[in-house]
Amino acid sequence: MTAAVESDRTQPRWRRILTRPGNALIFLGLLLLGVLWIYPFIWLLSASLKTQPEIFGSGLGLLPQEPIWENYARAWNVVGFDRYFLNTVLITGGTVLLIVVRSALAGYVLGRYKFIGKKVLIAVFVVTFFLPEGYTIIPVVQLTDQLGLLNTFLGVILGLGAGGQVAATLLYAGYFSGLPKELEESARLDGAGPLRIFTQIMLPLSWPITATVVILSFLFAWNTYLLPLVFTLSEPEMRTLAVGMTAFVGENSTDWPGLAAAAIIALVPVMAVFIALQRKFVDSIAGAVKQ
Amino acid sequence: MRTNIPLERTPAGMPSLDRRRFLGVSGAGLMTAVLASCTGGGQSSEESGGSSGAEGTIRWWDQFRPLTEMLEQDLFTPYTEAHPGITIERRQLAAADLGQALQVARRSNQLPDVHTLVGLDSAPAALVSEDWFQPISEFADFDSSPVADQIFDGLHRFDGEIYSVPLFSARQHQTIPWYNTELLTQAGVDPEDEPTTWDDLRAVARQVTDNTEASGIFLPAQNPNYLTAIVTQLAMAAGAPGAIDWSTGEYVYDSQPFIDAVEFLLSLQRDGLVHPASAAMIPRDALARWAAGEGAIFPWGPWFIGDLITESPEVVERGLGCWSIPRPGAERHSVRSGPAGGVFWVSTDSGQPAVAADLLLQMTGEDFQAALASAMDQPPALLETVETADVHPAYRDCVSRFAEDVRIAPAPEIGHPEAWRVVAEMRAVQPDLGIIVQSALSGEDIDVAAQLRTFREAASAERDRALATVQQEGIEVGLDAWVFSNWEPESDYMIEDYEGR
Amino acid sequence: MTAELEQLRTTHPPAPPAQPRAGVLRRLRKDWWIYLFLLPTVLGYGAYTVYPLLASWWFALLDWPGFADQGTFVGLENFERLLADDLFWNSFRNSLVFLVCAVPLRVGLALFLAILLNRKKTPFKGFLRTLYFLPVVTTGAIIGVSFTLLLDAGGPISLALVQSGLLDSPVNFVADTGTSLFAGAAVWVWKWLGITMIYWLAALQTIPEEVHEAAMLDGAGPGREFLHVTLPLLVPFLVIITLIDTVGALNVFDLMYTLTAGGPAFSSEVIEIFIFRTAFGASVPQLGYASAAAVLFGLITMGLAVAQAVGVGWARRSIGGMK
Repeated sequence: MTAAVESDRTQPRWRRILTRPGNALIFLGLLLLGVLWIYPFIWLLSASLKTQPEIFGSGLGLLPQEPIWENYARAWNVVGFDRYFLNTVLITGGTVLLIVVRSALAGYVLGRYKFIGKKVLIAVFVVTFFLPEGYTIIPVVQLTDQLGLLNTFLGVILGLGAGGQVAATLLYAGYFSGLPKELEESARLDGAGPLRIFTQIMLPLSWPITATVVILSFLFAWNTYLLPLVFTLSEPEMRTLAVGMTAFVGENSTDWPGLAAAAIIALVPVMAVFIALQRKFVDSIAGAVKQ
Repeated sequence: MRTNIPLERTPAGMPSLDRRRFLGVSGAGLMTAVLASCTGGGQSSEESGGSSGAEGTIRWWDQFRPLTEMLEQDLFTPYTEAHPGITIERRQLAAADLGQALQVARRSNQLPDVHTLVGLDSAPAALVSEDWFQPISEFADFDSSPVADQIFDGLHRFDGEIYSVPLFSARQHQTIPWYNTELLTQAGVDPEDEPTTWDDLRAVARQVTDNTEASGIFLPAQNPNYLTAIVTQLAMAAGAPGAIDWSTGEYVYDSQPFIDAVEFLLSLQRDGLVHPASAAMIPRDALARWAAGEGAIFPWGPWFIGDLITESPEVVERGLGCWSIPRPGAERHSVRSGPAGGVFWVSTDSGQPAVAADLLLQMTGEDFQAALASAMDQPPALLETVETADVHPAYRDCVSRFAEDVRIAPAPEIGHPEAWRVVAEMRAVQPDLGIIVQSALSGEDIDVAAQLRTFREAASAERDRALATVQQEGIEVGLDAWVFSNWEPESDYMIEDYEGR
Repeated sequence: MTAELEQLRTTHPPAPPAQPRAGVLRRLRKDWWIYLFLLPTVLGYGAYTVYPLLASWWFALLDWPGFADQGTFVGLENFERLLADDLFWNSFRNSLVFLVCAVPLRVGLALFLAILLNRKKTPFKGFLRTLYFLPVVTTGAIIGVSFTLLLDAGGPISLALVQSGLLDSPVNFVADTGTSLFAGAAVWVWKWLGITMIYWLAALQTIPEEVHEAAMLDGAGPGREFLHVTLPLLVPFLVIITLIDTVGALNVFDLMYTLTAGGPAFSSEVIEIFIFRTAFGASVPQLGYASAAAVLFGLITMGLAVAQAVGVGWARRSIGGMK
């Protein structure tokens, strides 16, 4: 379905379409709604460049009298955003890696082999598929503590990526189950073991799914809040952007321009990644749901 | 993995603070390099790298942002200069975060050596019984410290051992009407002409609202605890004994003074005298907006000037002052405040109790108390140091008003050795006073008197339940622990009064 | 993706040469590497999903103040207290109101947009889609904080409503007991609309072009064509998409905690905030009690998940029947 959403291939076509009043009206309506949809970001951007009284004092005007770039410097330096940024990158990277590795391995055997215990495994997946995070946070803290991993990055990464994530496993399983059997058989005749078959044949073949899983788990890990919040309560140096941002509010609740600037700093990377890869993003989500 | 080894006793050379993180990272296989390079680079670990042997690092958590400079200058720096082996790592956390941070730290045996209890301070005795702290009396001579007469059983001393000491004066409350002199003058109000009654205060607020761009008064309603405090204090000014009538031991949240106090606040809002954004403000927001000149009066604590000076000294220059808490009519009533509890506590896992005790002892000394006074935060336990300290005249005025207006109330924990068990067993009853006022202020149509009665009944029932639970465990304590028949509302309840009841 | 589960259960992907009645031990020994491949998932999933699930049932039976190391067993007392706790029911009601208001809005509005975007005659589809989708990728907690400014009495939304005459006086939407929950629901719909729209676009793509054309040839107008031809074909997807969004509406901690923190006066406290506040926020944290609330919450969600499995099964059969 992927290419079909994006069906306007011929450029001059829009000119022809918009000459019909009905079409033009619908387009204008959609455009207006779209602008309304990103208005909060535009307002935030404008607020991040205003002075404190200007934010709530200058009505609906979006243009600051004079852009105050210093707001960004303050948000970045005072709050220690550089540190939060690095933390978020590390935690996200580790989580994505963990999810990809374990989902690909499990998805491969689940998708292609029959073995004792498979039904049990799938039943467990079904039962726990939609378990909300808030449900397990107390035991997860307890477990992480018992492993001695509270206040470590590994603890956060395991908390995020070790459990859950059934969807990723199933995506891999679905993909691998559709690959022809001959792939392995010929490799096995050449004397390759399961691990070699997996890493040299199967994993490279599954790159579209890997891309999807990377994108979905990137979104999940970058935006997650509850777990890093609880895990870094006693260790502010390990806060992620999302947690650091809310801490910033707690400590500087009236520094609105600084707050807006901090929000922009925290949102821009994920938005940039999205805009750069948007086709893939949308296809991933649509593809995942269709399966 | 679960270890009780105090962090400071780790082998020399390994950065003690990061030991746990190190353990976490070492098993990480392929991520080790990346993570180690990152966790090892924190500011905190650099400082602790050199500590070893008998010396060590004191980790210290508190929420006193305005005291940051003063603690550094008057306590930590002199101490570490005198004891070259000792490093002190202080971390200041927002009051709202500190309680949560402590809980998590406790569960993972990472409590700092010394910390405050904000957010967990409902019953320090409960924490003592759960083995959070260690006694410090053997390490320092607190009995001859200047605050010795303010150290009480059940608050600071448990089973004969001292765990903590009072640093701040009990003679204070949190709702002093601070005013902006410039705005008042602009509105044609003479600050010297003190509004002593509720109607006087309303008139001043109205004059400001009518004659200037600014609002009359701030009532930061996002924080229910603030609302609880202001209503309780206004109710006491109107003649209520407090949340509890100490002569009978009963809760009195639904008595007339409480209802009147809530009505007074609601009427200020109805009259349009309250800053319109108040509903979304916590007290810190209100302070910032007060400083920006958006309103004339903001009832808050004695730390008002201390807070302002660290962030915007020019605002203090502009002119400010305080009045006493107003009352409904001509009759004066004092407001009451319980005895001052301990502030800093020494964690049970701390490997440096002697150093911690020494630091706490120094904080009770006259030098530090005088420095505390000049920081203009909460008034120091040794109140007389305020008179000679270099403080803003309005701060001195505020403290001398406390001497007139505030009386010390009794505390069940001091009077009965087992009362704390009941306090610790009691759970928060909701909706409480602050929440009821918050709903009423946000325009919900509720019957305040009926809600207050429901709350009073629920609070009593919860105390009865807690009492029954504790009694079931075979502990002898009764409701009489809350009754102080010799209590006089207009005088201090002294230590000898506990014996005479 | 739940369809995937079904598929795994019903169809058997290529299996190694069948050896019926082979000894269990022999099979296990032969398949050792399969279990090796599964090891990370089994360990991780066991420790971080299955164990917490079981542990919270155990914790729910304990009286466990957060500052104590251990809890004491109290049986079902926590559940009894919960059922009598007005604030628990308050949060339950709030979650329900949130769900009932926000989910239909999100699903319906997304369908509307998807249909317009799916029209051949709409230009710049990709661009428009990007606009609607952008909030989806953003961080919920940061959106929550940012909207405290946008929804302030002096913020642009209140200002615009006053200027257009829809409001008499400025309102702080997050600090008013009457509006805070709905403000949260509105922000949630705004944030997640784009992803539901993509679901719908994917669903619409499954309807073959000939169906539309046939309907048009029969003389049906676009309205009637949609009502009688497209909509019936979309019903199975409606079930799936509604269920996905419903579960999403029960996972709103980050947004609601940063937007309103449940206030004012608990007016927007959803179940997850109730759990968090009881476990970490209170001055006497109650881990056992919070776990009991979590268990009840989990049961509700699981009920929905079962409904989902049933619904998906039904939907798949319907889709299959169509083809």
